[in-house]
Amino acid sequence: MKHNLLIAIAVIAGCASGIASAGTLDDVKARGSLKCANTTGYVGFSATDDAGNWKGFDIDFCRAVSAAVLGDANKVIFQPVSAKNRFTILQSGEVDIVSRNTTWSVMRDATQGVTFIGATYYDGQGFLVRKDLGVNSVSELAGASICLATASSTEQTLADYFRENNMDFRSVSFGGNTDARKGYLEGACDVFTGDQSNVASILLSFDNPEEHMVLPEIISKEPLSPYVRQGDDQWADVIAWVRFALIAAEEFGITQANVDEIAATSNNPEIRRMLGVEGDVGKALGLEANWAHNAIKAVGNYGEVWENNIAPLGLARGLNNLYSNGGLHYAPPFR
Amino acid sequence: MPLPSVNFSDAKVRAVLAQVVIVFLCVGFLYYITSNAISNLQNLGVQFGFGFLNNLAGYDISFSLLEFDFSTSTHLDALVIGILNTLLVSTLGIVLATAVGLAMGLMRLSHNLLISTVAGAFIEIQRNVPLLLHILFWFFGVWLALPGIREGTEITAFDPFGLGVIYIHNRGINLPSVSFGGQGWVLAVAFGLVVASIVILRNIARRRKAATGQDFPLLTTIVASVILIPLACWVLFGIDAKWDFPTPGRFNFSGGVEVVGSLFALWIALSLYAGAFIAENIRSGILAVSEGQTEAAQALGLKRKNIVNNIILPQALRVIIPPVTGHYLNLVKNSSLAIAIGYPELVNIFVGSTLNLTGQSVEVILLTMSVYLVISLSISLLMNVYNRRMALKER
Repeated sequence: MKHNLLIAIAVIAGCASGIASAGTLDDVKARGSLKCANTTGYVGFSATDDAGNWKGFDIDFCRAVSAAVLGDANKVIFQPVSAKNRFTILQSGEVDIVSRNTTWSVMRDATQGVTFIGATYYDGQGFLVRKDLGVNSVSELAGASICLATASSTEQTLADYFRENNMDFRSVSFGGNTDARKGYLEGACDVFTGDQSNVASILLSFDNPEEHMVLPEIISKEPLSPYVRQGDDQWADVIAWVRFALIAAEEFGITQANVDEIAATSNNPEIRRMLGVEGDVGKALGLEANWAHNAIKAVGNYGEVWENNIAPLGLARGLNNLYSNGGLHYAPPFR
Repeated sequence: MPLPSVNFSDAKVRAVLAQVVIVFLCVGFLYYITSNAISNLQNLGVQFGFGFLNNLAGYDISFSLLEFDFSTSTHLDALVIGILNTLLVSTLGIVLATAVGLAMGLMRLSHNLLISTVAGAFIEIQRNVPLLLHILFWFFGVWLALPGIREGTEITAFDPFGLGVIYIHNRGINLPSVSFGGQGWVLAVAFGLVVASIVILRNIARRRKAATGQDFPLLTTIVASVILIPLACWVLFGIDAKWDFPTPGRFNFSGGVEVVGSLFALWIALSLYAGAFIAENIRSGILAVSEGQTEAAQALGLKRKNIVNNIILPQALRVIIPPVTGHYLNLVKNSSLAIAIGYPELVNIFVGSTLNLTGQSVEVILLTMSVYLVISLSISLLMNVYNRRMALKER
């Protein structure tokens, strides 16, 4: 009897461990929807509008992927997730992609079982203070109380910076950005820190933004990148090339409004290959020929996604310009 | 080799066999899910191991009982700080919850309508609103609403005694700290003498009671020894105490110790919540002692104090202790809700920051669960020992 049990357990174990995913691209196509993890609320990146629809920079990226893979930008099931659970939810297979302002760093890449597909947003950690504090630089903050959200890379970069500069500080940690913002407003700390985009988003939400100022220093590199499960190269390629298509579209001057016209009239071979008029780029990626066309039609090119979501926060494009305008965004050729 | 024959028609044998099979299945299932999680994580490049505990933590902890330095402390240090902070708020919470529970439970029994209604209202409000809301209320609604630490660029705060010794503000409470240089041993000796004197006095009291039936003024003598013994030590050996008072700095008070506001908010919320449940246990325990016991004691001419201490309480306690143990355990576990207000207890530090930085989710969760298990089992053990002492001795 015991022998039978042992065998039964061994068989169950063997079967279950064999259920490694068949390939996310096929799963998504078969399901007819894309499961995308986003932040629980972050104006400009991922927040609901009055009608309850998700809007933002991270959201548009998932919509672009959905349009490229499924031909419909509205086939996305959004799964808001806290910073703490963002890797686990992907590891456990509950979502296909995480597009949730996450910093790409070596430890995460090497130990979290995820593949970062490339920065969609080049950010850096900034500081917000009240003007009446009389502080003009981060170097004057020795001994200050600093509000931040726990379980973020902010925690580590902050300690790194103060360690490097031999200064002391007191962290006042909160479970999330919303609470940290509240703590800062109530005076539980002197300084709010987070990614520059986050700081801008928070500043915009204040009743009296003119009483606060952003300190000039950016103390870290925070390349924010979407990521997928490690070990599914086909799926990672698809996501990476959706990103490149949006960037290339801006470079080629292809917009949401004129993409149909350009597809019909352009005689630039690279544009024709990207939009699926000729060649078989789509087939090579496992997608329809018009995948990039659909993505651009759905959300616009990279510049348009920026203008629609980030520009209202009052942030300059800076590093997020195309390489040709002094930024870092550069797409490999479509050939 | 002949197998021992098993008689399946014997109910006892069947029962034992069933148990063996169930235990076997449970262990097998646990082993399976753990090894499955580990192997799946390994496929994703996440290696199982506890080596990360010796790595530099690299983040700051807002409040710790031991020294924690973000430039040198490891994840193991962070784990220890987290455990200590959990134990701190749990211990404080259990003491206050018991006091609140006792007060409210007795008030609820009062014949005065006003008092019993107030206690009843308190208990119902506490028991019927989720604990997380209580915690958020006490932190965001009460503590953060206290006056701040700054007027213009000057650091100043509410000073309850006007002496510049204690400051209360919405970041926490600043208290003076004291250090004894090389004379910590004097303190240890004084403490030891006080404990010894209490044990001796209790013994004397019990013997006198047994021998002569007279009461010994136990409380007065204990209070006297608690005051007089340290005083004598101070006079004899002299103590070189260095007081460190909080002084206004650039952004915060420096010197002394600062206890974070989230600790107080969490402490109060946990204590009132658990206290409400304990109050009901105490009330039911007292009501469980039949009225006839009191009447019989009164008929014997016992004093009110003796009736409560020697007749009602011993019988009520054996009804009260088991459920109260459960509430103590809940209080410890509920302290993990502190993550909402940023009090750095075990879950906040270890499952929050350390897990995020290292990605060792299985190890971190296993360690955290084990710590809670050990804390809870220790409390259960202590309460069971107490319960056995209080249980009705049937001879």
